[in-house]
Amino acid sequence: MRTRLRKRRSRIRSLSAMTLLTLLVVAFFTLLIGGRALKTQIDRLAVTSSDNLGWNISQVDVDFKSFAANLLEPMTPRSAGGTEITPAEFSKIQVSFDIFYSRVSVIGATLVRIGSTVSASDDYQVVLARRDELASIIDSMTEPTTAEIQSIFDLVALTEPTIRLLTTRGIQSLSEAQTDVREQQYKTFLSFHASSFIILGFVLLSCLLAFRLWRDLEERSRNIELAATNVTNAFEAAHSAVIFTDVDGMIIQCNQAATKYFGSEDEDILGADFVHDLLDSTSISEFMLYRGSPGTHTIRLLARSLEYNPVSIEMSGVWTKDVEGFDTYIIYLTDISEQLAAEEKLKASRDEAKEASNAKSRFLATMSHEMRTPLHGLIASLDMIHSGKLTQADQKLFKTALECSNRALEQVTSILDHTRLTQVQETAQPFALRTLLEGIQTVLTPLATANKNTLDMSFLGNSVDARYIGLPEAFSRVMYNLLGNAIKFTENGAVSVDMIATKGSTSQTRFLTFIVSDQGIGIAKEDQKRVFESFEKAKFNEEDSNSGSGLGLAIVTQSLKQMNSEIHMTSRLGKGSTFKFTLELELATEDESSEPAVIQNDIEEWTVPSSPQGPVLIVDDNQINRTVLNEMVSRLGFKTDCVSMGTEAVEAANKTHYSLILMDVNMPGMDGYEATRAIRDGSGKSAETIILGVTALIPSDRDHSTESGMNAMLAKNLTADRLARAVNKYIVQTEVPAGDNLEQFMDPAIAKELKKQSLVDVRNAINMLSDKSSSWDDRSATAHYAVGSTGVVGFTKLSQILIEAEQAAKLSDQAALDVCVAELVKIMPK
Amino acid sequence: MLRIKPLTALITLVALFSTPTLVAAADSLTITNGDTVVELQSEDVAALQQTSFETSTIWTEGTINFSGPSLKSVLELADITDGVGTLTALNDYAIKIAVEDITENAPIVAYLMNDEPFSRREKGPYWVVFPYDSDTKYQQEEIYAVSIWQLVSVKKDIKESKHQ
Repeated sequence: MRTRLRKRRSRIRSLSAMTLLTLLVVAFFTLLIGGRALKTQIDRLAVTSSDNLGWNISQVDVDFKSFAANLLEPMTPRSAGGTEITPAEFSKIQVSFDIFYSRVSVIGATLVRIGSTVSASDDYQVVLARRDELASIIDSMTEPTTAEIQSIFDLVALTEPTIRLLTTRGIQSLSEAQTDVREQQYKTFLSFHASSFIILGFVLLSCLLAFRLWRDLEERSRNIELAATNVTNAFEAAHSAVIFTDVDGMIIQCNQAATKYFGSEDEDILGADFVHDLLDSTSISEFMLYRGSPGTHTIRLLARSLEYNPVSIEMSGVWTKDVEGFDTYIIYLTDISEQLAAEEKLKASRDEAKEASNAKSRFLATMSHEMRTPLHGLIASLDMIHSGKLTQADQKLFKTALECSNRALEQVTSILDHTRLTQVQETAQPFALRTLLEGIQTVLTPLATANKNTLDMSFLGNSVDARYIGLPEAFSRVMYNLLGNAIKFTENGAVSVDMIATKGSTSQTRFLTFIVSDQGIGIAKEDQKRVFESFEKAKFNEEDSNSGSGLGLAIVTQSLKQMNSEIHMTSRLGKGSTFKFTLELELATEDESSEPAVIQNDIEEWTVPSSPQGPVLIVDDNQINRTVLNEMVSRLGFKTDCVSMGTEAVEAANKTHYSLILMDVNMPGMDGYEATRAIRDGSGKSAETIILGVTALIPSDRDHSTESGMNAMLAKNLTADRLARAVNKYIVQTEVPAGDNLEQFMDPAIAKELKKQSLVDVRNAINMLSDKSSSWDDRSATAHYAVGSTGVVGFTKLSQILIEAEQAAKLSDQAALDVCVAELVKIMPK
Repeated sequence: MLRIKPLTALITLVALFSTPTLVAAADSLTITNGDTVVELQSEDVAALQQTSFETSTIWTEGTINFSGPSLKSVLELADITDGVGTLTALNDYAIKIAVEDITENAPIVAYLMNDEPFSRREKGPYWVVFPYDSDTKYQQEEIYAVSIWQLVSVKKDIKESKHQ
């Protein structure tokens, strides 16, 4: 708007100036032409009026009378010669006639010149004729007589009226001509007057325009001055230094800020060389480079004031041309010394905070890890207590203690998972999701059974069995947590997992959708968002024994994020919840590693070299672990050696042939991997022995374990039951008579009682397994219980068959179960 | 302005008085500077350095070729080089002229019109003429007044008198 107005005003201004110019030019020419016309006119008048024509004409009469007088003179009696004509008198007559004669010629010419008609009139012709007549008469005379003079005089007298008439008419005609001239003069003056008025008008108009222009210019210059003042003020008041340099870098102008930054008390920086006087030598090349290549970014340099104080600056610059067209480089810079200091401080505090956060995570991880060891010991110890001997009330307490310790371990584990999650990045690898899921199902089924739930899985789509490249650990975490929650919060219900494979966005990928549904208590709408956050739990009954660490869904969210996915939840309070997520995974090609998936709570399956029976070496730096493991392994009927350090383990392995080495992975000094490597690399007696790593962190240790030469890893939540399974799996045991070894490390009475109880458990199991009316879950649970019981007292064969039976029960495989039962019955001592 | 009064030309070699006198002899021109009196005849005039030009006049019709010595050269014959001179015509018409205003070439004392001497009836025999057509400065009142015809005498004023 303002711009348009300004444009219009500028147009008006130039129009005014043009008009002014035109008016002045017109006025000038009008004046010039008018003046010239006037001058010409006046000149013309001056020429015509330059002779007194009137007088000239009237003089004819005078000359004529003079001639007449000269004629009369000799005829008067008083004359010199009386009435005779003397030669002198005749001469006078001749002269006066000649004067008259020439006078007539003159007025003839005059009359012609002024254009008078009188010259053509009869009077003039008559006068002319009489003059010529008189001339011829006079010229013919030599000695005139009085009579002759008298005759001339008569002729003259006859001519006199005509002369007078001519004179009168001539003067009249002349005055008419002069009147014409005057009128013309008057007209000329009038037109000059008029044009003068016009010119005056023009001049007045011009003055007006000039005044307007002047006022306009005044305003403009005031505005310009105002703008210039503003610019100067802004320039001077700017916090940033502004420096103008010429091509050579000499400072030609700068503002107060620049002087403040760089000047000294008795010297300002005008005329200084910006590059060499003000820049630190380390910054010159960077500045030159920056100045040479135009850009809009800023650079940070180190400058020095004239007093050599260092100034950290952030600057930008721009090339421009000054009014005279010289190249000028304008530098804008800010003193960032304080800012830099603040940044440093900020960085330091950020690092500190990060470090603190890391420390916290490390602390949490360490705490959790350290807490797991005693918990493992506690659980293992409880596991080994034969509850059958307890009173009814004690059994209830014992059960509570077992549950509590299990829950505590679970929580510690999930905290550990969570803290590790934020620190460790898993690498993608091929794995079979279905196999993994089924493994999880196997592991969680007992838990589901305990809550009287079913755990079912269904697989839809062609590619559900394929192997995919993904993050098995993250996926396991997600499923364990989702299913763990589903089972925990559902009682007498069904928990199901649906895996649906559909086409992916390319031929090499598939969309895999997982739906985990339960019929549990559900989550209130207001809690639905919150439950995905760390350490948040839905507001369940405070007394609810199922409350967990509050990390489950946060772990799920985090883990899914690692797989570029997210969880969707629908839940209705009291009806149950459904969690859904979709992964897009790439199909693994056939030749890629076909290693089995890692299942956290199970044992990896490798081929087992046959090995003759021998003692078991237990390596663990932790006293409790050593004791518990020692107890467990002993109960399985093995002799044991216990060492607490990697080096001791290597030494022992070299000397003794062990049938199995249980190697703790994390030990101070030589750790489990190193020890394993040393054993494998050496040619000791146990170089070929099965070595099972024992660790709390199976998945991330996997690569290490295989590389180091461990046969498999056992997760550290090691119960007698799981240890028994592992040992059974890896060591082809010669049949050890039941109970043979138990007495060696146990009070024989107790051992006997344990064995008796164990056999009772087996019988109960056989009964339950044979009872086709009982549920599969009940059967598998009974078998499971018996597995532990037999394993602990050393009935390894029984234990092994019971494991198979449990498996069969889980799979609802009646035929396989029948085979197992038959075998059990066959082996059972009567 | 031309004024013509009946007057006779008189040829005198030495004139003691400055007042015009009727003289019988025609065609002579008297130059007077104090006691110095020079009387010129037409052959004396013809012997002087001649100037000629063509011009019209307000008293004649058509253009005329005038010839004659310059007035300046004529005055110099009587050593008149400054002051004021009085020119007198046959009819006693007299006019004063500042000698310093007289230039080398104008006016002339014409005694030939179209290469012919001219009579009294034709404003002769001596006529003070300017080249009127050549410049408007010669078309002025004062110039016309000095353009005296039937010239009979030129006399330097003794006293630095003002105009009559």
